[in-house]
Amino acid sequence: MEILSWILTIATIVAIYSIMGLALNVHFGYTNLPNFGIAGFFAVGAYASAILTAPHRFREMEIFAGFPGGVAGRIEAPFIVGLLAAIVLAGVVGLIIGIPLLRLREDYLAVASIGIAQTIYYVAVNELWLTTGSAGIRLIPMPTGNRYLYFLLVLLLLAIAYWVVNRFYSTPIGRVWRGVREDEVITASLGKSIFRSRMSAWIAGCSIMGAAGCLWAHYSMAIQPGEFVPTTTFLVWIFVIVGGLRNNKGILLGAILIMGFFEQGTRFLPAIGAPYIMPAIRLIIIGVLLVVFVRFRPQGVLPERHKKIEAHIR
Amino acid sequence: MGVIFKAEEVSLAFGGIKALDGFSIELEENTITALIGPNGAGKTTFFNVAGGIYPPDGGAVYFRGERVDGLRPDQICMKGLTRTFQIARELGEMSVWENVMLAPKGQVGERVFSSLLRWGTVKKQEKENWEKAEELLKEMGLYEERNELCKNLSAGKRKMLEICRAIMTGPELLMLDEPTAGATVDETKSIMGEIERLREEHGLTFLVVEHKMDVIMNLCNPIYVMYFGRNLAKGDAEAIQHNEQVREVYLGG
Repeated sequence: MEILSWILTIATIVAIYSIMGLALNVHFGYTNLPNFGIAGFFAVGAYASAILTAPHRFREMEIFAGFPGGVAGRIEAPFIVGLLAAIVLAGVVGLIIGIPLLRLREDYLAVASIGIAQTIYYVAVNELWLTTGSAGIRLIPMPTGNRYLYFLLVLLLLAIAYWVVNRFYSTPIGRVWRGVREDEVITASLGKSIFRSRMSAWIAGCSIMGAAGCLWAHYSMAIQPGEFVPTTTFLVWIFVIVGGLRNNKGILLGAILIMGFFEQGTRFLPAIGAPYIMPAIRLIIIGVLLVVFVRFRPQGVLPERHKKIEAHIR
Repeated sequence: MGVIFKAEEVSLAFGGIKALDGFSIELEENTITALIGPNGAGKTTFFNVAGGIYPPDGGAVYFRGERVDGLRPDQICMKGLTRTFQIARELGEMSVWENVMLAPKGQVGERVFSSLLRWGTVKKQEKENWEKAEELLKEMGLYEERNELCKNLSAGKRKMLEICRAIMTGPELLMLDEPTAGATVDETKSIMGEIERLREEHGLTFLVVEHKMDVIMNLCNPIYVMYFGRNLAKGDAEAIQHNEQVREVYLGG
């Protein structure tokens, strides 16, 4: 029973991270927007849903933080409201951030997006009235009340995200996004607004990341700012690159391989030597894997697959 | 027959170099006008100004009587003026069919929610656009390569593809920058044939930059000659061939 519970934990985490991987595919794989601020949008979704749904009992933490009149825990909205709020708020934050950010060339965009995620992290740490800072938000309800059912709910949302992202790929909007990726000047000369196209991809991806954040909050039932650090972002990048950037199946595969086996699967292995060696080795292996893939197989395990027109028009 | 496009005294300098120095041109509707001149005369720079890539330093550009200089490339394309590039630029990691299907205007599925929700409309539009694209690709001899990635095409085929893509935007005025560069003799013929056919059957207007004199002389009237960013001459093939100045700077001897 314990082993099953452990597998369930890993599977849920893999599924939630997969959703973030799919969102990164919309950003970087489709549209060439290197978002290194994934953790930020993940946090926006997680906090939005946590603040809206955490129960009143949680007030003690606010008092502890010195803000007895805080927002968190006052609303006690149902899960679905939290989820929608997470999606919408992450999209809105994406829009506001995107206005200055999406005018940048991709390398600057990458740097700026890390900064944005750090800003969001510091908001979570410092805006005690809203987030209770480092104390975090606890007692976030798990909507199904049961981890097995919750896993099914996460799988359902993963399936929806997968469908949405695939649909984007093969409809005209995906063509425009990929056109922007390949050559902005050409795509603009064909009458497509580059800024608007980048923005729609950006918001769509940010919203999906927000949904993943919401799922994370209700799974772990307690969140605190320390979970939304750049490591989260880099893990998503690593499995997306290894599994196959631009290929949604590859992203699922990468999530299972990297997040499942390496990141989570080795967590409970017996310590060899000093206790800090195993976690360090784990990170080293992941890092080496990334270097190897970027150098020798940048398209990942599963490369982009191009649909034939006959299959498309059928 | 009216004037569809007009550039007045357009100038543009890069640092100290005047790439365009008061260049003017007028295009009559439903004609094929040529723009020729030695390398560095400013032909491509003029295309970039007309296409919205650079705003000019001075002068004005009108399309259908409306001022278009200073607009963005996508806005200019939406008005009905599509241009191609001298060095064929293709969307390499996309297939030929995706390249041509990117171009049509007013695709409902280019909006996020419509793409997800309006299945029927999106599918119907895709079918309609593909019917047009299919016919065009067949005429241009690209149909066999429809599922190829563009980066795998030969230089000539890329040029053909670029013209197909431009046509698929449904323009009124097409500005082609060396449409037959890198194309084989056969490909050149089919490109020329297509240009003439589009002018005749669909009433399109063309501005063509070209170095192949036989193409220009057979296809285009009038011909503008450009030299150091300025107008040098204008006339039909006969007049241009016998113009002393043009012979001196461009045609040679």
